Amino acid sequence: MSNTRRLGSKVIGTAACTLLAATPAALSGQIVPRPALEQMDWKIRTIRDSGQPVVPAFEGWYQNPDGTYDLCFGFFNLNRAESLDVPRGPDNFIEPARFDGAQPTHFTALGEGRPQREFCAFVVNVPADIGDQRVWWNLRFAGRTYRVPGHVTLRPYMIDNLVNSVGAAMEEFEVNRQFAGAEAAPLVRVVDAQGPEARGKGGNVPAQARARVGAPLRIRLQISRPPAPDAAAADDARRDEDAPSQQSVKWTKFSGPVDAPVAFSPARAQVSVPGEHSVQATFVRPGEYVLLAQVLHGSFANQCCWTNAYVRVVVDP
Amino acid sequence: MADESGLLRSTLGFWGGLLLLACSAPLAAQAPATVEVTYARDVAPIMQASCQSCHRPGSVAPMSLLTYQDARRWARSIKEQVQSRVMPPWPLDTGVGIQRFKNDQSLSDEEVETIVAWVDAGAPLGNPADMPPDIAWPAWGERWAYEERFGRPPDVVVSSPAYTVTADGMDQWPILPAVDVTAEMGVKGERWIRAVELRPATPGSASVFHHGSARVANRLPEDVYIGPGSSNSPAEVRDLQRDQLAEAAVGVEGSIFPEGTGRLLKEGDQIVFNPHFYPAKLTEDLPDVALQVGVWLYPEGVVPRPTDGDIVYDQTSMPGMEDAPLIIPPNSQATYRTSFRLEGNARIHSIRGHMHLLGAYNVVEAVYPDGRYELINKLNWDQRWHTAFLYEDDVQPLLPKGTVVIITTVFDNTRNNLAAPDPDQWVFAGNRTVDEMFRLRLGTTFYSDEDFAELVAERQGRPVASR
Ligand code: HEC
Repeated sequence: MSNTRRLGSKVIGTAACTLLAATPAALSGQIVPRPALEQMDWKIRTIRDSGQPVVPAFEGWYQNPDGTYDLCFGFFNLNRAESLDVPRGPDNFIEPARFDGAQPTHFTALGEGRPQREFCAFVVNVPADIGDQRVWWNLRFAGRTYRVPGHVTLRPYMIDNLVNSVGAAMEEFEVNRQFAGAEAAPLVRVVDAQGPEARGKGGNVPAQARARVGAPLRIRLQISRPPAPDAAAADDARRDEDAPSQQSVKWTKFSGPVDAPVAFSPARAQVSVPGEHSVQATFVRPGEYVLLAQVLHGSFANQCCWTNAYVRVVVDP
Repeated sequence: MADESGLLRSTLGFWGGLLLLACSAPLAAQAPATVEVTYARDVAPIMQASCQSCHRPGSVAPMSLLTYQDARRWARSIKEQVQSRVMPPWPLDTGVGIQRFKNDQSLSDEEVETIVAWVDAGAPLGNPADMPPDIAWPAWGERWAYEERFGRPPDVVVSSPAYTVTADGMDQWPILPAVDVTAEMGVKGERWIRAVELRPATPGSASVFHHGSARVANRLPEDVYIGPGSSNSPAEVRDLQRDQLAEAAVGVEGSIFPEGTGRLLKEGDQIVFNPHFYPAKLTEDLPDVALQVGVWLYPEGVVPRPTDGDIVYDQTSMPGMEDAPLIIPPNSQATYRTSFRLEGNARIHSIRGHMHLLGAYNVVEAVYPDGRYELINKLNWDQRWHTAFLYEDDVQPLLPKGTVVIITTVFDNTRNNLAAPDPDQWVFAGNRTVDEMFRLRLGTTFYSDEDFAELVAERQGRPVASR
């Protein structure tokens, strides 16, 4: 044994307790059926249809050209079917309080397939002299707090924002894919809405739009390649300069009224860039919403590269 | 045949070890009074055999242990490190499971006792005349690790293209152009590989490769994506990985295939280097970083039984694990458990786990089709070492078709784990050093029922090194 921490066979099972005890299925008033015996196993089912919490994630940090830093936060809704709304306040806050307000209040259910967290859904911009100060995102579910600190003190948590600087292949499985410098966060402009172009994960002013309950709102995105010099880096030597690249768009409700799901059609799409993408968003309640489109060129798991484009929608009755 | 006596030795070794453990306390108490342990006579040979390969100028360890003065200066720390079995690095629980390995670097209990007694006695030199002659250590790169075993340097050496590691503290996985295998390299037509060693080509390369792992493959299908999210089933992924040659990291030199088995290497094949660099301590960009693979071949014309590639069990992509992604809560330990059923008769010649900074240990167990149970090994994890444990031929697990292999994996995200970068973080599965991962690699050869029965018979019916 190399040291005492490795002696802990008695700890087996603590993680399961931590997560599963946290939020009994009864919370949602729904009884989770017990699987048939032959379907049961010992695996820790952290992912359930409902009743599980949303876990916050600190993805990493990067420095902006003006010297400030962005702390990237994501989240993992552990429910396949249950979307959750947690308004900002005692159950959803960032501290120190001066950084509060950037966080989402809506956490979309996972749906089917391999569960994946929402990578860097928002950033907290902190000053250049932040030092070793920690910025905590706190979420509360069923009386338990799930919190995570963001900070700029650990270099291994440094991530790329605009261009994939070194390229990250899947460590052992990846075969012959060219990454380095080949990926760059696209420029995203929300057509038919006022607002500047967005690029990268943070610092983007939301576009503004208006809609009515029940009437689908069409939102068009114009997606283009970043300008030089990034464009040069983004064009892999082996690729044809003018060939469009395949990128993906993913829509979610970021914040808005409680129990007011937004239907996106389609919620996910492939788009060839440069190009245009259009979605229809339908609302069931009036109020003020923020929608998030993540336009990805690269891979979420490698933390690069994508653009978070936010659209503020005022929905009238 | 030799297998039997080997088994006997391992059995004796095991019980001998237990006995020694049981008696070690009174022995240690008596030792200083009766026998004087000296550096020259007792400790220097251990340092030479087990420490100096790393603890000398230009090697991987931070300080030299070549002289009495060196050892004396570090005496207290040496005692600590050998007693806790952190040094020499051998991250395996020596109290359970199979214990005979081709690359065993660990100290025996007696050697540990000797060092401890020496330090407790005030680290005396003793009679300089007892001192063994200095070892003439080769310069970096002069000698390969497997050279001694095979009595010759590798038959084929292939170097990767050079890469400049940038000093920005981020993980780097450069994709280097593949290297063609040619006749000039010494591979004409079809040749069979007996052993492969992979190493950083220069001391500088070694310094950034320290936390990395690398893979050498020959001729993988192009444009095939087999990472997370791919539509390939684990079985298909395994098929695609069949051509893997060797993997290396700190503590893993490569693969020695069991006698009579090997892997094909053909003229025209390609070698793909996939290094993972982690330049945490780099202050300036480091150019000319490269890897080197050395291959020992069977004599021309010899065709051994083909071994399969390492079977990789990736816990997070195993069927049925969709509802249990890796999620490690802050300030806690997380345990994952999974199992798989072997679809063929397997002979396992090496075992190695792979985790990142939060890895604590892996327990690997087998339940045989006839109901017998065996704990194969408990692999302790230390992110500084990626040790592949190469079983001695006569204790290589023989796992018949239908055997259920159970893997238990423990992560430690608490302050007890000095490697945990920030125990307040929630940690998820991913590729970055600060994300987590779990993989178990079993170097495997599959056998037909008849051939397997023969192997089992040679072990006198004991499928593994059962005691
Ligand atoms: C495979 C290479 C290797 C071998 C073999 C090895 N060491 Fe080490 N040793 C290292 C490395 C690398 C470190 C630095 C570890 C780190 O950076 O955390 C180290 C660290 C140490 C330290 C801690 C130094 C400190 O900072 O306190 C001691 C003591 C030590 N080794 C003693 C030994 C002794 C005694 C042996 C033989 C019985 C030995 N080592 C064998 C590689 C090795």
